Amino acid sequence: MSVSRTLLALLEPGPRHGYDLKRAYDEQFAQGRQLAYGQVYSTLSRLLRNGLVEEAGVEHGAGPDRKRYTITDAGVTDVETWLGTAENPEPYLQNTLYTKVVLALLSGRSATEVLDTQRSAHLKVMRELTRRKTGGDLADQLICDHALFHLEADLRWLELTAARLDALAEVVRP
Amino acid sequence: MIRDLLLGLRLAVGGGRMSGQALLRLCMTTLGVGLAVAILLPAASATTIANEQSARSAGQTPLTEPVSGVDPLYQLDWFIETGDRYLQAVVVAPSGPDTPIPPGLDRIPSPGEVVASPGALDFFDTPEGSTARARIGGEVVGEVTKPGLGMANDQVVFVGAEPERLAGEERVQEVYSFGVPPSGGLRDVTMVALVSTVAVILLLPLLIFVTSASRMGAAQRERRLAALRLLGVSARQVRRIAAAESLVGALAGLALGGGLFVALRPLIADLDLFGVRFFAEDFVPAWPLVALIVLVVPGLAVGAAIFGLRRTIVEPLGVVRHGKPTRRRMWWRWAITGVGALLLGSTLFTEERSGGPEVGVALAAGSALLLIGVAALLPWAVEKTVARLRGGSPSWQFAVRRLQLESGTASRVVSGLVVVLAGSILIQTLVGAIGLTEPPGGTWRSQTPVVAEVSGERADEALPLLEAEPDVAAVHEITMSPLNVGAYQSSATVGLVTGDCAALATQAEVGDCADGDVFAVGTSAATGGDTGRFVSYSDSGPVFGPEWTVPDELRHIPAESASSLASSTLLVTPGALETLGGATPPEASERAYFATTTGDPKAAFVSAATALSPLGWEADIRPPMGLFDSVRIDESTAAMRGIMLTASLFVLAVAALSLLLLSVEQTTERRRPLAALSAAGVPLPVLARASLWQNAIPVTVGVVLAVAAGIGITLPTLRYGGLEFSVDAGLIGVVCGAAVLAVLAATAVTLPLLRQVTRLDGLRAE
Amino acid sequence: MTGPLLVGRDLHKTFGATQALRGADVSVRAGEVLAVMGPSGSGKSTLLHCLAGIVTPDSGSIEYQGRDLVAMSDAERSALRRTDFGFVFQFGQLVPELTCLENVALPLRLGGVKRKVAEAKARQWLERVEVGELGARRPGDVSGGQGQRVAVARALVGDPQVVFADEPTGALDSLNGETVMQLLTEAARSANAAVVLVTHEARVAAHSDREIVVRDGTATDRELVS
Ligand SMILES: Nc1ncnc2c1ncn2[C@@H]1O[C@H](COP(=O)(O)OP(=O)(O)O)[C@@H](O)[C@H]1O
Ligand SMILES: [Mg+2]
Repeated sequence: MSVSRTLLALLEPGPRHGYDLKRAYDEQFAQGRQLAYGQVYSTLSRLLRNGLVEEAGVEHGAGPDRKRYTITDAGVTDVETWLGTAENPEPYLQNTLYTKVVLALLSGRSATEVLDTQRSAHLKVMRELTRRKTGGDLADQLICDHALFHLEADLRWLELTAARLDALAEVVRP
Repeated sequence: MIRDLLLGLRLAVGGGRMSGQALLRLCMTTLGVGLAVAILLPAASATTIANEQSARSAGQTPLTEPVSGVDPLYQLDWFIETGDRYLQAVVVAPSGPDTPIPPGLDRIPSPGEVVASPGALDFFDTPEGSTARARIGGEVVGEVTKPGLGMANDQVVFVGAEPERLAGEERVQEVYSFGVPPSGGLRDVTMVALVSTVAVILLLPLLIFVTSASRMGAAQRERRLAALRLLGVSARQVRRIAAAESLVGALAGLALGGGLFVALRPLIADLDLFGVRFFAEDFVPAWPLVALIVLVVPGLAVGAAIFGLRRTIVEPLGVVRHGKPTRRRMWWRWAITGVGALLLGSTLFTEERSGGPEVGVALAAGSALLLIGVAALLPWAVEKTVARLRGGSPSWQFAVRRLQLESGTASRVVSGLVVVLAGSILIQTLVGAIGLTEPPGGTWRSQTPVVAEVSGERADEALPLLEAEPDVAAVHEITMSPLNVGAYQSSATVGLVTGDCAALATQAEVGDCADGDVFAVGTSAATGGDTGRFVSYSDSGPVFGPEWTVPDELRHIPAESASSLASSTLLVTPGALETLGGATPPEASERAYFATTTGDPKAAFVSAATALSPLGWEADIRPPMGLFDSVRIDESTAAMRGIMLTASLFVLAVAALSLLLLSVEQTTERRRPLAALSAAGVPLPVLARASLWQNAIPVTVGVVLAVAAGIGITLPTLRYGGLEFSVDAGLIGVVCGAAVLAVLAATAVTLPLLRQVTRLDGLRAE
Repeated sequence: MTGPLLVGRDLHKTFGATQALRGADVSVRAGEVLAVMGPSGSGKSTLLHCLAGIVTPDSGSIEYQGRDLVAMSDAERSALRRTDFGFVFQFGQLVPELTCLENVALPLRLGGVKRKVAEAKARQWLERVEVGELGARRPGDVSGGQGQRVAVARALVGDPQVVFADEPTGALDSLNGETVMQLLTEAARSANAAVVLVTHEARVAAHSDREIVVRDGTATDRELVS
């Protein structure tokens, strides 16, 4: 899963402090494993270097000075490409898929499209497996079936998510 | 146990939400049991009725033993002929103050007074009755009450007369008292046998109705009960549950039947059953029989319901999965049929027409058993027939396969039909054949219609009265005298009918006749040249009169061209008597006058009879054969046909209803496959035709078997009675037509359902 | 590659208050296996029924081999379904009183084929779907999987151009479902019949060549968009 793309996407709705970013990330995706400050700032500096974000002024007040970051056009394009590209179907994908769905919702993009793209990719692999299975021996069949069942589980989860997008949107959008 | 019954009740009247089929089943069971009870209760009153009637008729028996101190009643039985029936009037006169009064009267009518029974009063209102009324004259002053009657519609008339006029009469009885002890009721074996056959024919369809009603729409219930059974409900519990449901209908039916009986009893008095009318108050069922009815009829309904469930109980899984049914037990079905056939067959070894009452019993029992047996064998027969059917168009295949899967309802439909149809063929053929046995003579009519034949002691006095009557065109005199021909040992008597040519023309087709001619009608015992002697009979033996020789030139007239009076006689003109020995018929010869008319014969007969009324019983006047009677026979045959037709149509309606229910049930059940077929492009007409065949096959089998069975039981019975066979094609035609209609109707009613089911809805998983 | 065999464009269908279809596009090419996916109640079956000419859409067009299905009379559509289409439903489509063999022979017999000929061909098809021994049995006496194979045989016996299968494995376990799907797609492919396969299961849809997704009564077909 890509933390840098997640942070980039979280910046899309508007400029934020590094601290805000960390909090937003932890709320939506941390699932008990919070992001370290160091990781946030190192990621942001990498994004700065690649021209995907830029600084948008410093806010003075109590505590340390706080830099605000904002996404560049190059950054928006990067997010869009990422969301639009299917993940390589493989087991234990849901973290990435979930992140993508939530980010699509947060950024007002079509989560359904994300899901459809993913389904297509999954089905393509499943078709390949099915074809292999039909031609293969019992061992092939069993191995393929294992993979097929896992992929099917992913897809089922996707369907379930798709069916609950409205509810999810309410939860993730404050 | 009570819990199971209650569960059954709940399933029957299910908490207010009763399924349409269950409700229909309940109603039909109620109706069937109700009708059966309503018919059985009057039947159970038969013994009461018979006892009461024999008690009354014993009470009416006149006793002529002189009793001192009693002035005898002069009583003369006067038969007034009015076509094919006669009215028995009793002419009465007291001989003194202490004269016994006949039962049913409160006093002895005075001269000019008439007391008539209600039946006689009704009769007086008919065209033929009005002539009787005219003959009797006088004034009706009262009604004969129940003690004076046998049946409620008996035609009894008491006519008052002057004692002096009766006193000298030879035919008058002197009655000193009335009444002997009753001799017991209905004992006639043949009668019992006949009644039992009719009862079986009438009741069997009803019982079949009851049993099939309690199994109507059963597939759904069977499936439900089978499901319960699979859940672990014991066989006994399932039986109790089923019993409770049909018990509701049976008990309601009992109440309905009892109610119907009580409500309709007063109306029985107005009901003309085969020309007999009963007293409503005599309809008191015998208590043991009532108990039997109350136990047996609901028992049958419940039993049928439980019996129908044997498959559910034995193999519930098969019911749930539409499996093949178990084999049925056959031996008792064959046994009943066999015994019936044997009984019927055995009567064929007796001589035609000569059978005694045992033959009658054998016939009745045989017919009844054969009918029951055929009804019981049918499910098997239909199964076998259908199992053999193969191929055909897809719709035919649907129907045949469906019947192969479930032909129980169809068979019950068929068995009901067979019994009723076969029964009606038997009964109507008997009635028809009896109607046919009217003597063949008498159909001949003379050119100028004869309206009345007058004879009797004072017939000569009638002559001027008749001639004065404007409706009567002419009156011809005829003398009838027996002539003894041949040797004394081997003598034969031939009737001589003497009259002038005009008179003889009223009796036969004499053609151009001249005085001196003699005609032989049909096969006469005398031939030309025979010599015979006139003879008359007295208490002390034959008295011979003058001799006469039959002329050689006899003219022959076929029997069909002569009246029944003239058949096998010699018609002789007076000239022939004079020329051949100058003999005249003796004084004792019977003399009759034949009145003819040019107008309406019936009206002329009525006026002639009225004109003769002053002569009373001393002159007999009767209409020629066929003037009034033909109508009556037709009427009673029509009434019988009506009853049989109604019964047949009723059973057909029940059959159609059962078929309809079956169709509806199966169509609903096949919702998915039907919808799938229709989606796959199978046209609705194919499915509709399948449903038509499915209804038509069993009904056709039923009608064909019924006609065969009907003729099968009718032939030996006709042979027993020596009657001719003729089938009432009209009745069979109507029933067959109605069968076709029933099938069409049942199919047509299923169509909308079929259309609805084959819409898309059937495809959606529930 | 030839053009599409069956095309539905902008299909709308309303049942009472329910909008079952609101703008669905779909195309089926000859010989392809097209999976129609989507959650339950999304309008998959309705779409299938429209394409098969079982129901007429409220608006939109359906073209089969260049013929306008919407404009056809009911009788014409029935005849078309009988001659050109085959059907497999989830369950319960076999006529219970007919034997399996007679069930399979039925479409041929309705088309006027002689009984002997029809039953011989039906027997071949039963063998082909590996239930040759069930010919004389009634549908009530066979298992769900066997029944579906008989249904597959019945759908294919008339050499249809398109087989419409609505959740054909919906009532079966995985293994039976797998076999039925293999038999169905193999047989259809070798007969060059297209299959419109309605399913919500990915594993079943994996037997297809292509899928479209129905969601809330709408569906887009990339083949049509391009
Ligand atoms: N004949 C019908 N009458 C009423 N509503 C229907 C009918 N057919 C379908 N629907 C409704 O249309 C919607 C789509 O149904 P359907 O096409 O069967 O969905 P799917 O097959 O995808 O589960 C559902 O809400 C369903 O209730
Ligand atoms: Mg569906």
